[in-house]
Amino acid sequence: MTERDDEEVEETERREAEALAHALERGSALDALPEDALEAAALLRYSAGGGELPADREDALLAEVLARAARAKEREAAAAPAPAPLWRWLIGFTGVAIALALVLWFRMPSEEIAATELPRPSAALVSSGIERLGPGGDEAAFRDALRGYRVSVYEALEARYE
Amino acid sequence: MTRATATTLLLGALLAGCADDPRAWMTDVRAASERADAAEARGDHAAAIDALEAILSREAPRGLAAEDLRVVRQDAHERLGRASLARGDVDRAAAHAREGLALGEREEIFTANLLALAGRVAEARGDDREAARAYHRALVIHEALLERALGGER
Repeated sequence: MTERDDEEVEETERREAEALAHALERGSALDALPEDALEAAALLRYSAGGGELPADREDALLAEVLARAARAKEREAAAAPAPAPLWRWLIGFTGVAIALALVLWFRMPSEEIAATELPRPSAALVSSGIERLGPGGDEAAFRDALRGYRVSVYEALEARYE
Repeated sequence: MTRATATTLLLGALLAGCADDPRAWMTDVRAASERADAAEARGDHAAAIDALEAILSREAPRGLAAEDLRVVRQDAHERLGRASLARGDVDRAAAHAREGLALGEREEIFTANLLALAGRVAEARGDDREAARAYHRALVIHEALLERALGGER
């Protein structure tokens, strides 16, 4: 390093030191103050005050924070979609109720429709039914006879709805 | 009209329109009953029970007479109850007898069969008094049916 270089370094250091002193004294920085010196000045000033903000500064900050929070809330509320009005819900529920009623109406059997006239069971079948109830009754014989009768019942039911 | 409402109405109309017609329902039920008959004949009780339970689980369509539905369901309940009893499941048999009779008692063979089933259930439970009562009610119906049958044959 030459003598000239040494002089330039000393000059730079001197300017930075003056700027730092100015910042510490006045609370504002000169152009010559580098970023790290500015942070150092801010920290020194903050610690010199016992780490606390003056009451008026605190109040000002609080007011600003609250105002910003209120503005943010307003922006958020403006961005959120508006809830559906009541009449839309009412129409929706009415639609669902009508659809359910339609489904039930079409699916439920009707009490008003007359019953199909079923074939009469034969005397032999009924007698077999009586006998099977007694002791030693022949359930299998009754079931065979009943199977034939059931077929005729289903035929009548099917024919009725053709 | 909102899009949701229109969709709901359309869906409801489609569901209603797709409901089985009584003829198709009856044809399916008859086929299931015949499958149960065939399964019972070859001793396949599980298959018979499946077919009969399908009858009970199938929703009845609009246009079907409630009394016709009762006949079909009472018959299925009685057959399921008997199958349950054959397998030693007395409680299930009792439930089928109860549910079947709750559909309505008429002077016809399917009601009499349910009363006979109720008697068998009571017997299996050792309740002779209840068994006798159920058999007697079944006999009363059979006597009325016999009178009618003999009257018609004369």
